[in-house]
Amino acid sequence: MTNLNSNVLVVDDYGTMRRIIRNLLTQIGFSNIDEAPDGATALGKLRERAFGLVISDWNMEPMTGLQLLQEVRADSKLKPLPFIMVTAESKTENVVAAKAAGVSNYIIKPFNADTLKKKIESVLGPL
Amino acid sequence: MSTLLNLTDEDYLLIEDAIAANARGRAFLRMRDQRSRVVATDDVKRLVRSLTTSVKKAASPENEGGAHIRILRQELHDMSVCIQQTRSEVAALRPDESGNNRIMAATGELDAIVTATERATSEILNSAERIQALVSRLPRNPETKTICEELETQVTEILTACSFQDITGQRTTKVVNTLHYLEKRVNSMIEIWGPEALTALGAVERGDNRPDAHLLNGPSLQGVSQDDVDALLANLNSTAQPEPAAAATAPGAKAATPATAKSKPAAAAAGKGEGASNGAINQNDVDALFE
Repeated sequence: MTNLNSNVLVVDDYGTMRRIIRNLLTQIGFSNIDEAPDGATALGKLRERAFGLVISDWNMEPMTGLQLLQEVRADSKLKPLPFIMVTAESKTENVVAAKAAGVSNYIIKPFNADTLKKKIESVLGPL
Repeated sequence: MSTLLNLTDEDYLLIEDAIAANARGRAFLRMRDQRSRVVATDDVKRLVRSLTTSVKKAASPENEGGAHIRILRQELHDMSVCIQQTRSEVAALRPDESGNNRIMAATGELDAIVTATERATSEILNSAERIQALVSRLPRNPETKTICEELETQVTEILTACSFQDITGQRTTKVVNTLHYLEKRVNSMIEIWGPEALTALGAVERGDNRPDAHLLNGPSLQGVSQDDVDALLANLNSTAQPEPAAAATAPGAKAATPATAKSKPAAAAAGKGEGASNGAINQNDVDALFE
């Protein structure tokens, strides 16, 4: 079973989206949720303490979600961290690029609670 | 066969100096220069005559080249017309004398849309989260359990539906970026033609022929507040009943309203010091103005 006490980092430049995802994660049962408005801040937090899951947007500035993913996969300590991309970028080439960079799963916005839960389960195991 | 002797520059200058050593020699040199110029001028005139003849021949209707030149002339004329039209279009986009810039204004409106939807979304989320908290406090028994679960599901639906703000925000940002790009290009064209040349083209038709078009500006970024409106209506109510039809169509109405409205908060504030009955109106008073 998934450890619902593990830290989850939500990365999105839109405060509304961070709030929605945080709320949905709370409904699922996660209790330790942190947020970052951009890739650079997220990377700093990931290097500060241990996280069990990252849920990140793609289209952010200056560091994009893909760049964040690449940084995570290039870091020996962070490399195995589950990373779900939640983005409006819905072209095949985007999904392919994210997969090539090592994304754990990919959710296209807009999404619903059920989709988020299923994708988390596919990455972390049954909730 | 003997070969012609060539002089070096040094030899030439030495001989020229020797000839120019006396008045007779200098006269010889002047005459030589004059004759050389006449020969050169004759050569140029002959060349121009030759070119003129060639061009006239090429432009004659019987000549195939003449047809090409006619086409070329027509193309140049069409290009000139297109350039003139483009100038007119650019003139329509340039900031007018009052500093208005349509592209900038459109960008501002889009930014305002993003801000407004963000605020509205935040309020919806607040309400949804309050409902969520209230539902969690309801006692669960066989009668309420299903209703509570359905309420939670609906709240979740509201939450996820609010993600539209992210999507529309991203799309709007794309449009804003495109507008910024267009603005740069238009400004470049204005620089090329010169703002003065574009000003000379005059005002451009705005396209809205409704009689009250001058009053139809949509939501404004610099609009007056509800307090300003209340103060303005209170002032109108205390002085004279306005003529609605005249106010809506009078050309001067647009110019007069903002200035009047801006002066009202101070008047309203002053009115508060004079007594509650002398400035403040309630919604019924406002409604009465429109009956």
